Amino acid sequence: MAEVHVVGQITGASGFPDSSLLCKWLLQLGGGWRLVEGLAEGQTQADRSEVGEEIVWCHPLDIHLSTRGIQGWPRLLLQVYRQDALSRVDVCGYGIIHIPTHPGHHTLHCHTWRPVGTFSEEFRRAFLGGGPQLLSTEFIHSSLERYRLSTIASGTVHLDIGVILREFDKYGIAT
Amino acid sequence: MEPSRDQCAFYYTKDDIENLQIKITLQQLTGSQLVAVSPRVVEDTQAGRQNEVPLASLTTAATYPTTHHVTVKWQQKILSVCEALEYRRSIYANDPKYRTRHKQAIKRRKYQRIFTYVHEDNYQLQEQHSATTSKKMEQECCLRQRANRTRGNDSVDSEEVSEKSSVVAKEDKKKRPPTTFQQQYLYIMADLAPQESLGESRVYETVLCVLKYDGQSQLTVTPDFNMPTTKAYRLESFGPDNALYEYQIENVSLTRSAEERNQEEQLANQMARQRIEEIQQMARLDWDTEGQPGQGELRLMTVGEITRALYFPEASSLYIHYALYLPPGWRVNPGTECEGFTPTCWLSHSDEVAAAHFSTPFSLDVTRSSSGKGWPLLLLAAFSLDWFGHDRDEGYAAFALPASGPHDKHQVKDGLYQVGTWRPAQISPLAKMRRFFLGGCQLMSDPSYLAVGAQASSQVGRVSRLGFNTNTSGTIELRASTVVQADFIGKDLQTPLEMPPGWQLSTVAVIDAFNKSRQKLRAAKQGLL
Repeated sequence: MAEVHVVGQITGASGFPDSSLLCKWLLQLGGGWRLVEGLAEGQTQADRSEVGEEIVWCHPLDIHLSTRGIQGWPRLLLQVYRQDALSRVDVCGYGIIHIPTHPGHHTLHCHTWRPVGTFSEEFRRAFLGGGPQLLSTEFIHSSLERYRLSTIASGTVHLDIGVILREFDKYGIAT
Repeated sequence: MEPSRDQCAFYYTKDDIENLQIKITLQQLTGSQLVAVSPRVVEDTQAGRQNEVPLASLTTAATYPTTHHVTVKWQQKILSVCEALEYRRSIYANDPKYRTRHKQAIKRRKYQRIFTYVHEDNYQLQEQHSATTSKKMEQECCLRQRANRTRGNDSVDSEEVSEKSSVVAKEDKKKRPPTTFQQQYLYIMADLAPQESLGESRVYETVLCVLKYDGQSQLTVTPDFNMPTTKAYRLESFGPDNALYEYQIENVSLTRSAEERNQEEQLANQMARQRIEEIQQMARLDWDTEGQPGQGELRLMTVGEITRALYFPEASSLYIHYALYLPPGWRVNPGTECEGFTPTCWLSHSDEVAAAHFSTPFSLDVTRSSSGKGWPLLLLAAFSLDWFGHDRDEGYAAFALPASGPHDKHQVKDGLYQVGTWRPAQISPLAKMRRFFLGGCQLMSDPSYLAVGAQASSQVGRVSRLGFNTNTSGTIELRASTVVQADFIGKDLQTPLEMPPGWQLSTVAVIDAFNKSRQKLRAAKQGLL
């Protein structure tokens, strides 16, 4: 059985509208995978940038996984929410990103999107907040249901991830 | 110099807060002691001091004690003189809420100066009010009450309510969830009034020590506990007698015995060992042999995402259709979706280039048999959607799944690949106008284009091998990383993996593959809409 360590952080985000942002993350695993240690989901603090556009979270990730096969490689499901001055929380970005299969350090950028509604809904959203969100995160990763979604490009989430693989070569696996 | 009384110390404790015990020693400095401790007093003669000591002890011992020792537990109530006078009244004897205080008040020794305010006394609120600049006359509005309640200081209200109807209040208290993470206060106070006027007013009440506990193992002590090396804190009463006091705060908490501690450590060690064993067992589970490549076979798994589309100038919203093309001799392992769509994404112009973000994951798991040739391709087609819901083809591309590791020269950085796309060019102005106004995928709807194969071009001597021109279109960005599994890995890994995709998949085949799957899509859409 091979093991994977994922050590890194969700460094921050850019390109989102100007308000305080927070990111919920969830690690999705295939059937043969087991979480040995660490948290498989979490949430960053709500950060608001006072200097520039860049949001900084520096949210640590430290996950130890073990696997019986290579199928269902782990991936991170990211959801970015914004919190406005009245502490209402709206979704403003969905994204998904696979953990790299190569060992070493990786700087990743996850380009997120959000569902877009009708003209009146968008008009409402611009002034009052809210707006459509996905009923289930299932839509993000099921490939055939997705094309019915209408979305708009949103900001980018930045991650710094280090990957350590163990005993993969024992099973004739190269990455 | 005596230490300052406003310094604050933080303690972290995993122990139960109920075990906390604090010993307070308050001492009034009489004349002879003043000489001994105060630097302000000029040195007296030896004889004078000797005379004074027995005098002072004689006079004070007869009337009242100058030194007070009190050991306070966490949230232990010790009544002040004023409170004792109040609670001694017989009306509190039958009140269930104040019965204990009444008993305490009767038992209380008169000359005890040290007392406490527990959390329910809400002394912290009085302190806060005196520190704020808001008018004290201001009435309690509903917002303020709510703010106080959310801060957890709602006992003021419940007290008022309980006087009216204690039954209702009790029910309310039961319903309320326990506020475990609430800040709890304990004030250790002293009444420094002159001996004869003790209990007449609250003016001489002084805070000796404030303890705050946040319910999460953080204890704040202001001022800090006295160490054996530090001097006692000093107080002045500012009363008519102008007495000087010294006091010491000692931490005399119940500590565990060495045996108990030993046991606990052993338990913790045992638990840690069990956890390590568990982890080792988890990591020792058998490898799943399903999908394991056989002799001479090669399994290729590519995971990644279609991250975004760039430089599509004519489109306002885009979606990408991807399909896996497998050359002969390859097979798909179960659980792989060979084709899919991204959501339809409106372009955002906030970056320097207009981009559509997809972040659509794909996971392709394929196996090459020993007789297999070629290398699998991911076929990509970008379509734009106009205001009327018409599709328009924007670009086609084929992306060879990456074979080598992170040093692949095609990738931009960290597994990122940028794939340029092309689309058939419309030459006649009529076709251009039709495309502009009506949209549609002209190429797909007219199969005659496909009739001209790749082989034909060389025979007929055309410039283009398709028989039509193409235009360069935008760029699709995707991230991909691969896992390769084979029984010959480690021996001559480089030979099979370095095999370049030297063959050219016929563009017609690309279009043909898309044609098929678009028909499926259309059927699906008609069924849904």
